[in-house]
Amino acid sequence: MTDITDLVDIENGQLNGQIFHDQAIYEMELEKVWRRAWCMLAHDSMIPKKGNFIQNFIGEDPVLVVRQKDGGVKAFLNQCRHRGMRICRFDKGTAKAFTCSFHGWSYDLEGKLVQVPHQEAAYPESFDRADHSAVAVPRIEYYKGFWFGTWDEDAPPFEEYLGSAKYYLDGYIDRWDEGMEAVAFHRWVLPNNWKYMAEQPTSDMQHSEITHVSAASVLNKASDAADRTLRGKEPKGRQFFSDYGHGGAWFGLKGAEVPNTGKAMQKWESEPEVAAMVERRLGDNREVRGHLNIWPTFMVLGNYTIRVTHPRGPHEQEVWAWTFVPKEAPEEIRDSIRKDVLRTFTPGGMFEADDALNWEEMQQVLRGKVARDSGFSYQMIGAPIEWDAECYPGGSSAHVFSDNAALNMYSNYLDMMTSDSWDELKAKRAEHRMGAN
Amino acid sequence: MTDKVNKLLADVDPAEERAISRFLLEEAQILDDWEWAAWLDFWHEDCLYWAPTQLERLQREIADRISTFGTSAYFEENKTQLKQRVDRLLTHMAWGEAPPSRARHLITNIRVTKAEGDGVYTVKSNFLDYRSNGQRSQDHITGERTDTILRAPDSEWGYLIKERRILFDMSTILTKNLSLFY
Repeated sequence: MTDITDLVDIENGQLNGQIFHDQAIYEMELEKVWRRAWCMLAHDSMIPKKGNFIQNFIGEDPVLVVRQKDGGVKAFLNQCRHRGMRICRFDKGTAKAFTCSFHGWSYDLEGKLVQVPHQEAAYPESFDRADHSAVAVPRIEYYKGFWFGTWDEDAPPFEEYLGSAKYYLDGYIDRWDEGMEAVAFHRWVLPNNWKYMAEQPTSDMQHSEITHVSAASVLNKASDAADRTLRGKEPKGRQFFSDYGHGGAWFGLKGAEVPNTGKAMQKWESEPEVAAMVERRLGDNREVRGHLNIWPTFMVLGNYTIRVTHPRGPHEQEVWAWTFVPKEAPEEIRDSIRKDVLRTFTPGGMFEADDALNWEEMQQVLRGKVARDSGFSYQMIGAPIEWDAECYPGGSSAHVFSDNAALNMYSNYLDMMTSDSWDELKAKRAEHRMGAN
Repeated sequence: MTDKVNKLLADVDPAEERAISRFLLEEAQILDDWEWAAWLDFWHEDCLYWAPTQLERLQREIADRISTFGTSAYFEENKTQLKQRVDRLLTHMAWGEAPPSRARHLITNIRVTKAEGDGVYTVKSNFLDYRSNGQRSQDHITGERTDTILRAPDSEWGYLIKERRILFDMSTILTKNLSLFY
């Protein structure tokens, strides 16, 4: 296999297509990225009551995420320790226990093995059920309504992993006293490498002008969606990035804000008492909503589609997308947000349809060996990188169109792929801070 | 005339049933011919084009398998919103459908039953929509439609679709997008 360090050239802003195509690299990603990163498992509103569960994935590994009797949340690999059958085959529901439909091994809400058919009659005395609990997700942390998990015992705490991205993520999810809830869910498969989609909310605002020209032209004036014409022909805005590969961007400048969210959200948040609440919670400069990705694939858009994607080999991914609304907003505002997302960013959505085409074609072209080696450009600077600029923690650029956050994402990717431990990764990230020297 | 089939047939005038079936087949032809603007003529001014989602649920929770109205949906459109989707395709810059897919709507199992009100029918049908686009991309999707169709003598086709529920059979959509009309 080619050395991955030859495929990711951060200094010159060049990526080799192998990283989107090669099976061996993909296998390494499962080990070095997906077994190590923090991933979103569930939101409180998806499993509100004890015994509520959802199925989710960390990478390719299926996990059951379960609300416990004490109100906490646990997650475990959805694989029976007997012969490897999927323990639970349902997307969501309420359970007292999970019984495997192959031989009937039964697990409690924590994933502990509690019953084995014929144990007394047919198993040796030395057989101890405690040795055969479902594989637990060892680290789980709660962050503002969301439950995140990682397989890596040595991963830094979630907030340290977020780093400066915390400020920007809070700008989406921590605005309202009552918080948010998920009101819709869509799931679909796309024939492309997972990183193509990840880099988009991390860094790529500019594609929207071309890829989404048709949707914007019919929705700007006559729908619930943001009116993109108000952003101007050479739009102002800003992009940020954080050490562990997170990034995002938004349109408008402080004091000269332009719409990033849908019209209903704008209307509701312009009511004096709602505006005062947001300012009390976040300060006076948190219109930082546009798009954002917490590495690897926890994506948040200003219209409030919040999603994860799951890799399915180098050539395919699954999108799991929830629509979130503010709990305390009036029903017509909540419903408008829900409808705007379903009409724009779901499989039938007018924006999403055109993204899918790009990624499919890019993936198909990579079947060519010459195409794989030709090299892709990530050289749009936007504006010089600033560190910890006023109001903007972390790295950022005073331009909404920039490849900086994508390069930072791939710099983190390369460091993850070439590190054997979190300690090594942390040291590399400190050394490779983009634009810090 | 008491058996179930004959009772169903007795409720609807055979000529009407034939006309409604033809109406749906002509609609499919219009879509496959990329005549999207003309497709809008099939729709009542106050219409609903709705596609709920499905999930894998426990047997005891199977009643919650299909999303309820006002929650998850692939489509939840009125006539104005359907027209927006049509107008988007007509920009010829809706890249997912530009150039358009070669699509084939296969509409089968059409069953017309009398609904409440004069000239109002509930029409169930199944579909298999095949799509070929680009040089070699292809997919297909199946499902069930439940239409409310009104007799409308002054309209272009003599009937109008008041409401359509499209139930896709997949709980995970395995096609890259839902950029056709169904």
